[in-house]
Amino acid sequence: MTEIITRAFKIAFAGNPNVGKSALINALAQTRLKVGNWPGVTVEKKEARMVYQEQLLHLVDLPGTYSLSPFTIEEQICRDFLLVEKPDLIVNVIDTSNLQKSLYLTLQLIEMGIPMLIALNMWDEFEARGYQLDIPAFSAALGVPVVATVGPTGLGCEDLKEQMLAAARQAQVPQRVPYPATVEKELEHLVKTIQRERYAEGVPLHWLALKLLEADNYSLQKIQALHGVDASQVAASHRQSLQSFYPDLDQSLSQHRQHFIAELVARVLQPPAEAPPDMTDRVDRLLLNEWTGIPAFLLILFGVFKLTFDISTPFIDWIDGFFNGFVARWVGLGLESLGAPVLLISLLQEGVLGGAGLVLTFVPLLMCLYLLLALLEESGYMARAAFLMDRFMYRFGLHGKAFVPLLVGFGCNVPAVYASRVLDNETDRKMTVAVMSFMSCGAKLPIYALFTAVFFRQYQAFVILGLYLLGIAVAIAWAVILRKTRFKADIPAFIMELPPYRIPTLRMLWGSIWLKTRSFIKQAGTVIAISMILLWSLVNLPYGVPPERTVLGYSARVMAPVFLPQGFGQHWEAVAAVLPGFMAKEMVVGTLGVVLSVQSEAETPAEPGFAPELMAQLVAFKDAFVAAGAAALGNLMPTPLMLEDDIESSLSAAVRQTFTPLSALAFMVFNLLLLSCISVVGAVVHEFGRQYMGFVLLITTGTAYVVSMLVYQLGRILGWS
Amino acid sequence: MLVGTGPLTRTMAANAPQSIAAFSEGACVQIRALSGDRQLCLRLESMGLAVGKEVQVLKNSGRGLLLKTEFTRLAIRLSPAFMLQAVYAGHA
Repeated sequence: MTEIITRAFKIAFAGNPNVGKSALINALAQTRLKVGNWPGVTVEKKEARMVYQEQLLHLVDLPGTYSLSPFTIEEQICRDFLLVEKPDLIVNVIDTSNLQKSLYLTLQLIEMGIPMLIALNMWDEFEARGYQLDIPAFSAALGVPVVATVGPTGLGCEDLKEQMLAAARQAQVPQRVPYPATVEKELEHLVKTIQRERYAEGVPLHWLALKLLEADNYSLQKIQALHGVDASQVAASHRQSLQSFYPDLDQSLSQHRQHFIAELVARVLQPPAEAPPDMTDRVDRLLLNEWTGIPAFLLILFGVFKLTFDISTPFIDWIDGFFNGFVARWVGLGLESLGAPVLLISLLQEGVLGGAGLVLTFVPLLMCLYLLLALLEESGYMARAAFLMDRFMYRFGLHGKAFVPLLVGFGCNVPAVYASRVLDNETDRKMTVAVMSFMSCGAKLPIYALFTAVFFRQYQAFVILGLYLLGIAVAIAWAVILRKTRFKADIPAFIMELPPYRIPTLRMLWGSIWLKTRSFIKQAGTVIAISMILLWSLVNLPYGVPPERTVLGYSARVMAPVFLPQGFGQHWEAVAAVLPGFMAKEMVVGTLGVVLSVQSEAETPAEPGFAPELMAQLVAFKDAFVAAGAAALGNLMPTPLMLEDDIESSLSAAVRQTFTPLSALAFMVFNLLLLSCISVVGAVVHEFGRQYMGFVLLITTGTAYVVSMLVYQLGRILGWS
Repeated sequence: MLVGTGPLTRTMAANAPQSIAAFSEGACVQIRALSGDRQLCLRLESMGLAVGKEVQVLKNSGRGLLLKTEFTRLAIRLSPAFMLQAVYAGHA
């Protein structure tokens, strides 16, 4: 059915973080939010469109903000949107239980001179606490329509839609709260100056005057950029004339707003006779306790780590088998029957389908991780974890929340890049991702397993543990270096609101998981798939020649002298294994097998046939569910992501002939510190752009080269071989 | 020395603003001044931690503090560039 749309309205949802804006928009539009990025930054932009009474309502979920004096990039986005895009209506979403705090932003939004409506969200929690609010008096005092809502249940949404439409149509601008007469007088003068000099450029006059009076850096910079005028001089005389009344003008203006809010709240809010017990305080006594807090945190993170990898591993194996076994095989057979050239079949099987399969193998991993991170975030625990870890992380110049991506990095660096989204500040995210690359991911384990089994069998566990610890030590060293150099100007302040504990809804969790996973498949997936085709070309072209005469073999022979200081440059085969390792660490052991000419027997189905094999795939898919459930509940130790089950003895013998114990150690250290795979490159490009990716690539490759060289050379000085 | 640990020290400290880090866990204090980085001060005010507000110290681990004002819990790391002055107002 085609709907007739007579008019469109742009409606911005603004409010403090964690007040349920997204859930409210979901409930209003009865659809999942469309997610993109705000132009030029990696902050998520969420929006939805709905038709109501033949009017198109474009709902924009602005990032959570505490004030319109921007402190974070999110707050800057919120303010710029309101000033530049000029929505038809602002819906100010308020956590009703936290009325006094929320109203600080409300007053600033009113000052923007845009029609407004207040949604008193989380009304159910407010009532459950025994509080009462005189809504008509509250609405009258602010001159703004007010609706009580509960986002997750949709309570009040019909009323909200009606009020939104009415307010947008009427376009009535609310009356701002007046300041003391002396301030108002100066504001009036300043407005005239701004008008005369035409500084406003579409920005509300009175609002700009107030910001100049507050010496708001952001507004001063904007005017400087647009007009080349030092606007602080414009407001200087007005500020000076107020100095005798208000020695600290900024604080006085802020206090004036706070007094207005306190008086209003005292008038309209009726607290309960006896304050109900606060569940959050009780839980915090355990989770933030000096003795139990850290063990509980480690237990929760262990659970996240274990569940992410244990639940996803059976699905990863299934997708790997489905693409590389079933789909690739039948595509190959189909092409063969059509008489397609062998080269094309190999390209499609190993390059295209292998690439697509690799992208999709990350999907279960990411979905599990996103689910668990969303649970931690939405329940309110993530902020507490950051608080707990901040004391430790701060010493190395990292934010408390950085602990989460760093830990996830031990499993797989790709979801770890995305897990860095838990950090609010882009600088902290960039720094965390740079040092996270030194966390040894699961895909590197087969390399350690092979080389320690061959050269350090007696001390295998200690050597592997030592490699992990070396990765951590290098990460800490780089964190300190980066904080003192590249990110010097941005030592983060730790001010964070710890929201009350809440049980997240399934709808909210699913929305979060799906949006992020879809974004990964579309953006990072493209880079990964193309890289896999490139890798196929390296390993296979010219087609049909021996390994040493392929592009890879030739490149390895040319590159081999570069790795002489690391001790493994004498053998081009070792270097040939390193090169695909840039693409995926899983390929290092496999490539060694190929270039050292170790034969392995490929499995072929006993009874080939499309229908039985398809049935087997379906059964395997069902088994993956069972295995995921069993793995999640059964084991205590996380399942490592090892793609090969056992190491062939012929490969061990060939490796022993190619490496010495010392060069093997240097080889392991080089792979430990090298960026995990091309998928991480795709993820970092997706999150931070090519330029920053170049920087990460430079420091990881440089560190891997230098540290592995030091290991080999120091070993030689100590008389090791 | 931590104030709020005995009746005498509580009385003595009642009117002398000092860094909020000096108050023990459970103490209720009144914010008297926010000093240091202007942006940080504005940020704290917008988060509900304004001059005159009564605040409960939930956790105090030296540099890291967990404060509660009404239903808002704020985790803060103090630094030389950013200080919170408060006076003792009671014990929870």
